[in-house]
Amino acid sequence: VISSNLPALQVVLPLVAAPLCIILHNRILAWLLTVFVCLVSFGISCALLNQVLAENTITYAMGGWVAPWGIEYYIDKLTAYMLLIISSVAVLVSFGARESIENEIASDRIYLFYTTFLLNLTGLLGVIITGDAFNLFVFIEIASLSSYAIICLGKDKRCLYAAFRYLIFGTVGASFILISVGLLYVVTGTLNIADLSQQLANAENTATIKTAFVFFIIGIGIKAAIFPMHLWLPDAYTYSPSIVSTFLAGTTTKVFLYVLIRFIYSLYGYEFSFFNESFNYLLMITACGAMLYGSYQAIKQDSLKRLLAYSSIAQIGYMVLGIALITELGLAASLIHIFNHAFIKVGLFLAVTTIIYSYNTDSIERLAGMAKTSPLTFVLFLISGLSIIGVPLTSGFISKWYLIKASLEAGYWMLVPVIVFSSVLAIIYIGRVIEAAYFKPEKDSAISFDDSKKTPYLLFLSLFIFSFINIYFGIETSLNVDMAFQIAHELISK
Amino acid sequence: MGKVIDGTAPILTESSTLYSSPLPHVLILTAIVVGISTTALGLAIIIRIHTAFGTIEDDKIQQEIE
Repeated sequence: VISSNLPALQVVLPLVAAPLCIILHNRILAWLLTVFVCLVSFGISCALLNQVLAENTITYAMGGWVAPWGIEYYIDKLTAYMLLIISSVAVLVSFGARESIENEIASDRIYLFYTTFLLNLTGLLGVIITGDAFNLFVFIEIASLSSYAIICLGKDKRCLYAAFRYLIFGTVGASFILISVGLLYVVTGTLNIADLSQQLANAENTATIKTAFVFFIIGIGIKAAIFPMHLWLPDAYTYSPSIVSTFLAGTTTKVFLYVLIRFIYSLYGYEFSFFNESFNYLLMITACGAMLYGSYQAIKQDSLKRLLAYSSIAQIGYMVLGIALITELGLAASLIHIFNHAFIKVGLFLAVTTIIYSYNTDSIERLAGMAKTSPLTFVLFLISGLSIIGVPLTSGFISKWYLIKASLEAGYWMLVPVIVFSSVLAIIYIGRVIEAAYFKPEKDSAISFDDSKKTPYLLFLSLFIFSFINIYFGIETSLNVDMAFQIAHELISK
Repeated sequence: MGKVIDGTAPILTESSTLYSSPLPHVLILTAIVVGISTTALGLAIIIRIHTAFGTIEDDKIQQEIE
């Protein structure tokens, strides 16, 4: 019974556990429950991946109502790949979260952190797994609403303003997505994504279908923070509690990019999406804009979290670029980068979380000379930093290598200088942190290491695992690269 | 959108077989629920902004943040 209901359990389990955290009302028990549920979710996504590799696709009729009438959960390789990324990030982040959370969130609100964390996980997993366009919208809103709530849990009052801005942006995006789903329903009379794609292939190419497409792209663009629709992201990542920024940076934008890929390649079909309006050039320009703007802004920041937020905007540019190339290699490069960047950025943010835990600041200037007092943290920061630059033997190199190869293969050689230049800018912004920490003398007014706090062992362990993953997938790439190529092949040849 | 001409309300009875589509109502209801939750959360955040900053004027909050 369990193995046939895995797709439902993947989403229902964190959903049921979330209110349990409120009932438990105890921060240790809530933390244990969260880690346990994340572990089980991770186990389920591994099992689903195994099943998909054997059977190719799994469909699950929710409540026994068969598609296209009922809500269908649809799992192919792409779904399983994304589920694996999100659930593994969730396990490792929740595992390391406790020490930092007790430091950064008022103690009577800690159990609420775990509740919203699990709700957010429910939403993200649901967005990935669902095969129903309207259900997709509902899960997007579950994920978004819980992320607005989780951002305002911090002690810093600026997080409230950041969350409110995010709420306004996010609601505009969600409304656009809803309008798009509504228009598609009017044209085709169905909401099932597989059914929709068949109906759209036969339907006349009317203005309604095009309007729905544009609404959807704008809506998902806001949610995924694709340049120039990224304005909510820097504030939301900077002012929220560090563990929250860590989790959001590793998961939210990736999931919405997944939805973009699903819509462009599975639902509309890339011939419609790209060839009718030369839409891919538009995406390419925004991607290049994101890479240059994000990296340039990152250089100017003094706050480490803000620096990483702008770097995220640049990295989203890389992923969008891969999608816009419309080749198997390009799509594969994009998928590989989604996988690698999830772990790189979470690694970097966890290092910053550790720094904030020890020094109560993330200002680069004030951290001058601090590599002496906490050498391990900065070494682990450096490893993930090298990975985001794209140094060989790290996972970042693999994704950039395939992206450059894909741009050349598709004939857009002028993209290569942009990719390389953005990486050079990445050397500068990571280099600034390293320079300050290792080579600058300690300031007189420098903050001293807070000895009263215990070493955050779990946080260190989780940070260490992410650094290990960054190097592991720079050397042994059979898992993610092969998988990404298979997925890209299936999506393009469809 | 869901109305079928001469169709009855979508209730299973033996007297009629032609009925309007209930789906648009379900979708709109769900969208309303989502909208209400968003508004509620937004207002809750505004209350907390007022407690934290002592004002809900956008200009003053931005000044204070910078």
